Amino acid sequence: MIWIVAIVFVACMALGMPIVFALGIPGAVYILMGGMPLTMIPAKMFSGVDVFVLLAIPMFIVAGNLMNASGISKRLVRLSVALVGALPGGLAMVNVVASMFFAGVTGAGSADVAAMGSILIPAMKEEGYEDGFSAAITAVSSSVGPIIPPSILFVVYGYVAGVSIASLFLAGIIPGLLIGFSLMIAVYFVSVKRNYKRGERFALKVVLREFKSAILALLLPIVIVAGMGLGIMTPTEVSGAAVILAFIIGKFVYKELKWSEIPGILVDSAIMSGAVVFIVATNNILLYAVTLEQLADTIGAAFLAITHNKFLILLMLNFLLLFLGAVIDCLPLMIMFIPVIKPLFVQLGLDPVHAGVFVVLNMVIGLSTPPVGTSLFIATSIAKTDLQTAAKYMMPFLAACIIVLLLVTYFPPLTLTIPHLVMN
Amino acid sequence: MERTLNRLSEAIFSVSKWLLIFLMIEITCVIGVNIIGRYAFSASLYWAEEVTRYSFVWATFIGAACAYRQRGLVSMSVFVHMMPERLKYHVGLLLDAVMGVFLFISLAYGVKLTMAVQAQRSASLEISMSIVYICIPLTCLFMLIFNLAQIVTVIKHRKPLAVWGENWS
Repeated sequence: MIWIVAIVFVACMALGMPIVFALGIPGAVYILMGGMPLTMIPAKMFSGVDVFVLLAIPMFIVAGNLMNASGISKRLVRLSVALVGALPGGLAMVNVVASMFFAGVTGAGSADVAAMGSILIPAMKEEGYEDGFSAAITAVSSSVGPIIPPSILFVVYGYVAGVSIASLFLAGIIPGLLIGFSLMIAVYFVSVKRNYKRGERFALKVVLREFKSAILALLLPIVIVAGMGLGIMTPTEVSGAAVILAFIIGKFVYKELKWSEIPGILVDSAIMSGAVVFIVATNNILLYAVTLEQLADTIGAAFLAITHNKFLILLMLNFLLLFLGAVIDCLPLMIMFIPVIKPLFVQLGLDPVHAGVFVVLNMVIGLSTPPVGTSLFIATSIAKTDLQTAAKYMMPFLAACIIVLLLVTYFPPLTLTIPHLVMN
Repeated sequence: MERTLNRLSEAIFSVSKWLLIFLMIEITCVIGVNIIGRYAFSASLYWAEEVTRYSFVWATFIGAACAYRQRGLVSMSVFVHMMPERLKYHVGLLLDAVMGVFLFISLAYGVKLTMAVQAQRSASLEISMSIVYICIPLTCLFMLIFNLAQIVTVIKHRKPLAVWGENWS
């Protein structure tokens, strides 16, 4: 019976059915074949999303979109230009640094690509950077977004794996900064080799001026991390507070947010969130089959049958996740993959927070690798180039990310130090 | 047939948008008032968690239905891009039909479930749980109508619609 369910699942996925249905339909087949009451289908959908922490997903999406409409992304880019514009490959450096700042205010990586790409790709074109290079660096630099808190991916992981979301947010800080810095090093070498332009000379006066203009946007991540880390607010409350702050800053301080834009932002954000959270709902139907058939144990045993070496299993997991991340979008991948693989983490004695960070890291790297990297898709369509061209320029950046990935996988203190310090 | 279905879809879509706007504002306000209340007046709304959670469930299902209409639900599209146009057309229709059946089952049993929980009361507001659960059959009905409209459009124009999740406009 489980084989039929598996075949239906693989067929639906391969033929390009929306993942929500490719998860729900095999789940329904299992319930149907097992002669269980069909009311379980809507009931499972409901119980999957009737969860308070998931509310943080639409809220963080709204906050990010509000900030974008408030001109916060422009200010963060100007601050980054003042800080690193004078280095070799000035605008490429700016792209990385601005993404790191922006990561602190939004929870979704794709918002980052769209926001940075629409400002920086045209500017890079003007300064003579190749389109493929601009698209590649824009896509890959957005991968810091879901690692540096706040992050929707961590909210979902925390829910699916039953781990404290506040700890995950804190654990993501160092790996996120590491990815950013390793990308800057890669940009440096590529730019020196290709003789890319530097921007204007570094001037402290300009930095201070731009810092003042962007200070409110920079305060937001601090509020979020402090609010959660010190246990003042729950993750969901923090996300709600982020929406309110973004609205106040955009409407009354920067005064760039227009009333007429707000309904559109709310609708777009709610639809984006609905498309993601609905996957949690239908996956909950399939999870019923996965649980009853003890599929997770089977998969864990399959890994352990190959080797008992923790080092090797982690390497295999990284390869598997990088591969899956290159063909399936990261949120759906996480929603279906984590419940199945979680028992293996327990058997290996991995800290669930540490596991969460390296799983998310794998998945965001997948966002900028062809064939289905969403970030790469958006970036190439803004730069009006194609995936193959951008993929050629991607290699040094992917190498930089993978080095950080291995460091994070095999050196847990990189992730666990900050949560331990703050939470105790 | 195509005109009627598309008009109906459009009407549902615009009502859904207003509902989404209302729900998002309501959720934000309740969370905000609750935080302020707790720290400024050390009093929190006992129903805040429940109201926002159920509003979120509603917003999720309605948002998903809207994403269905925009073909914004993500899929694994690697193999679809390799298919010739004719195959894409037939596979697309097959998938639409299968999803239609799933939506119909969810709709029918969603109605059954909604009626079954009528006497159940929510924990803090003590409203009937039917009010919460009804969002499932309702949005399944919406999606079923969008599904039919898309099938009719595909057959009429003999051309597959945009690949799921790649409608970047």
